Amino acid sequence: MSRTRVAVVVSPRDDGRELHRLAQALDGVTPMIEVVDERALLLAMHGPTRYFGGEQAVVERIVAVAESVGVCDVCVGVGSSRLAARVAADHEGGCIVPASRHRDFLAALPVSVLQNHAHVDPDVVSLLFRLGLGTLGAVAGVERSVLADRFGPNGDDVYALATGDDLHPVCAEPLPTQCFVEAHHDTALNDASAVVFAASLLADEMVGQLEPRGLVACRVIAVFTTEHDESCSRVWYHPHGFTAPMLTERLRWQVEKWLDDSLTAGVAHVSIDVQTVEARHATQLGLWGEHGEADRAAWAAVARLVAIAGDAVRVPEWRGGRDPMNQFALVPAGRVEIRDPAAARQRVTPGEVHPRTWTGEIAGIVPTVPVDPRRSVDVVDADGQRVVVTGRHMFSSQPEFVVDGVRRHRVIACFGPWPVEERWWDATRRRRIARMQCLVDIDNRQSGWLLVSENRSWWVVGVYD
Amino acid sequence: MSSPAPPRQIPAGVLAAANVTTLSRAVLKRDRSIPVAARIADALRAVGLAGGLPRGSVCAVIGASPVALTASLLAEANASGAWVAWCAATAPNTRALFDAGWQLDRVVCVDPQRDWVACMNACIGEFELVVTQIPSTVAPAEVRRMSTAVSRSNGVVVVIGGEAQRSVSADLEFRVERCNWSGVDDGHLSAQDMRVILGGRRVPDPCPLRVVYGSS
Repeated sequence: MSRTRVAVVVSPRDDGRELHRLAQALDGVTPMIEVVDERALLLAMHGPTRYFGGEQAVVERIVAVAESVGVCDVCVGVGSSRLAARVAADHEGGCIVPASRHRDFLAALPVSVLQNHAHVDPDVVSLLFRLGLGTLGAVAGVERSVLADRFGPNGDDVYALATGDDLHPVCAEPLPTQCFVEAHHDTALNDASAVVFAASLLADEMVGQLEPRGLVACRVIAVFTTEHDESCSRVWYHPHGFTAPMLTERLRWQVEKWLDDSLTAGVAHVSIDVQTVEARHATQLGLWGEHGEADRAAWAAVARLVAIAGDAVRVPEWRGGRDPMNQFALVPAGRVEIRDPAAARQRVTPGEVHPRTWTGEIAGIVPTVPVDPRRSVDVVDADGQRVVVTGRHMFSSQPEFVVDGVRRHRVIACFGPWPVEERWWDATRRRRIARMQCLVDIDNRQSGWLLVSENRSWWVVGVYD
Repeated sequence: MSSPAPPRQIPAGVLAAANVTTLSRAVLKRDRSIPVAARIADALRAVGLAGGLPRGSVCAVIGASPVALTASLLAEANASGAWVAWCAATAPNTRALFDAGWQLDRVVCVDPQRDWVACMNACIGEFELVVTQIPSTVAPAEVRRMSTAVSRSNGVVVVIGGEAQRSVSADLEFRVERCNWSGVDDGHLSAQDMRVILGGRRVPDPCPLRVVYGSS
């Protein structure tokens, strides 16, 4: 069976707005470009390959267009499925996987690519490893029904991906509409936040129409049109479907840059055309306490906040590591699934994805407020000499003062130093630091600080506020 | 045309047979408050409140270590199912909230940037708990409007730290008067022992309470 050839363009930066600008520029190469996430675009290769005279020529064209709009260092991968093209894009700056080598290319890949590039549940990937299925080739060797029995709908997805199929077809032309929502505005909207808010209401309406049918939208075409018929159209894709905040965040990427361009009128019409849907994975609601009124109200509020503040609305995600200030990262709420209680719990549970315990953790309580970016200070002894941490992990002299800009705070007590050696195996990213907790006197009040010494300099990284 | 029959009182026997109980005033009062840790609940009861943060109220946390006190104050409510929106320019260290017993899957942090009023309007009434710092650029009238909106909602807004918060007329005020550190002899900071004065509009006679953040 011949599969649709696709190209994935990966931007070096996590910037949805920049990616949308790149997609607009690439509209001249092929229509219906899909934005997959904040780093990757997908193009159907069938048309442009014939027009430009081969896949290599199309790749060169894509790179040239990207450079012409100021997006340098893009990686382009070409393959016979979304997953193959995505992995190819990450392979040494991008490569073309011939159609004849498609299955062999996938078979050699570790199953972790399913988690990293195809949004497959980390639990499923972890279990595949433990079952001895470490590569996609091994997974493809198992019968589909066996995987479906063991993993449910995830098993079907994993089998399809491992055998080189796509979960959803890649199309260069519009498909039959599954659901259509639109809004006309008699008074044209000029302000970006007003347009995003209008789009968020449409996203809510779309989800509201699909939810009772047990469906989620995986591929949508969003079109914004001004009073003077200037329009901005974009295809958005997510393999497991969009929630309202996720789609709103993407629509924000779409309109913000476009509205900055020289438009002659405000936005008068917004529409969302749902092209591909899939069954919403059944969720067993708890008898008591799950999906309560409070949860629904909070989800709706998060969607509204995303429309107002965009990426500034963030939720915690466990990352692990030795740094108590970064063990939980704050990630944009529009890019994660907050409505699925199991996924939300997994996101914040230590040890689920990244290890829970590390040597080199600081004892006792951690600072309540991070200092970001970290602030340079000086730690000096009674003679005014800079205190450093020696090779034996001792203070060179007793810290007496912390000099913070023009202010000098007396050190009431200090604890440490606690050495941490990170990534000692990696010559370029290795890091050797020492931590110190201290109580300093600020205007006759004791204040707790966490300081880090690195390359004989001191930094405040957290405050016990 | 016959007039409608007057409503009849349900016989007591029917209620008993169907295991129906009536809600007492105490139960209703309790449900109008947001749960807090036992020690704080005792202090709130001592000043005539229902052992929790009254819904529809604005609380101010001021003095030293406002974030640590807020983390202790809201841990019980968050752990028992309340969503928290942390709407402030400075986000807390979420690891510290986790250590204080928070369920982080019900926490949302928002940096309101220039649109504090819009962000607060989106949060109030939707999240049971909202923690905020009022930017100095916000007009007092906007803050009063926020207080009015809170009083009509089912949630609690906690305003933390700073001089700009003075424009708020807080129903409850938690002022950290003194903060002692535990663990100094063990070679690390293990807890903050805070002496807090509970005051505010609803507390005519301020009273002290002790809150420990961390393991004492």
